[in-house]
Amino acid sequence: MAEKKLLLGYLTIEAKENFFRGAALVTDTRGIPVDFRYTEPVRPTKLERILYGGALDVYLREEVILENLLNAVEMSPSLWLVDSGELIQPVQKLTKLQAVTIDATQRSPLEASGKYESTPEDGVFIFQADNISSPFRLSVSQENVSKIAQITESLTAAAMNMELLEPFTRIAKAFEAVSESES
Amino acid sequence: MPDILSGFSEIGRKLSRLFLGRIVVRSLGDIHRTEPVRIMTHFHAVGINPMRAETMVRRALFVKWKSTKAVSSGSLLGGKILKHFKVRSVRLPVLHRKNIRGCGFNIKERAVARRAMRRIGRTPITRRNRVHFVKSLPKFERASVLALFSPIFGEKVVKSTLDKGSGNLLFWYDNDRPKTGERNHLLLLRVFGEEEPLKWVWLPVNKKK
Repeated sequence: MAEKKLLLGYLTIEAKENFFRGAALVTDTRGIPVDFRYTEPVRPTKLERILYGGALDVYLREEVILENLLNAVEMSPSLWLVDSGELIQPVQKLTKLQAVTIDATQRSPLEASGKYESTPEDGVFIFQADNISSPFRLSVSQENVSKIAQITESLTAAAMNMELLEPFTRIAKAFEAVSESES
Repeated sequence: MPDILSGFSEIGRKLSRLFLGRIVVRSLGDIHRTEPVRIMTHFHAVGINPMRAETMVRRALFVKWKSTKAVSSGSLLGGKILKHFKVRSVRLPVLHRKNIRGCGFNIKERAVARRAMRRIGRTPITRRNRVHFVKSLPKFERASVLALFSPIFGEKVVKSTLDKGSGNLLFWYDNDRPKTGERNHLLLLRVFGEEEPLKWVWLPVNKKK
């Protein structure tokens, strides 16, 4: 039986002053896109802002944009990388897949790629993805702490061929291009 | 005459005693009442004191008292201020069913997820300069390494450009080309003593020297 191809899913939800939008990019381990979806900006009306109040932000992120994006993605990734820790649980709930956040740090590199260290924070690890960058801050949900070795193995394999955080930059540029074409 | 009168009153008193049983109660006068009777009330007088100190405005620096006319509140309410307010009548519409608009909450329908493979394919991939992280850089004669961008599949690159502002390399892969080739470092060299001072060099990832 052929081994399932490793795909990484990148998910971001942008909340600007008067609109919300999101995008999901699924790439192979070289960073080549295999699926890309984005939502049109959702601009809540004044009446909706008043009626939903403080719940509007969570409702738009988790139930409106996230659900629509994840339902539309056809290529299911092996792992979701999200740009906010608040998205880990909702993404896992909707997709039944692991979701993590990774952030760049200024720390000195760990001794070898694939190495990771736990931190005093629950579910947060320092992780060396490759030999030519500083380690990442990797956050996983409590139920995935026991699967950290498997998660770091997938990320290390991908980091051999691509920059792990780079697809988020591409999504941001795609958003810019969409905004320019709309204006 | 007084004797006759006192005689009549004595007869009247005796008759009333016989027939009506009335006893005459006479006042003893002030003989036994040496002290006046004091009548005490059960209720104490309740003193009401304000909880906060009485405020007295002695002086306000922001008001020019000299220019302010001293007028009573009555004259302000009844005379000058009320003249500025006009009460107008407003006819309210009768609320029929047709006047009430429904507010459809169709936010979910507005967040349409679009597929945009072409757009993301046109967006360049970025690589940061990682020269500072490489422990053992390859050595070149009369040249030094300015930048190292990695990993890049050189055979798939169709276009690349150096963003001089950020120092990042932007490039585009040919996503339709099935052949990937080897992973490479792309090095930017500064060459000394040559006409062209900058040179690009591809280097396989596993062969640094």
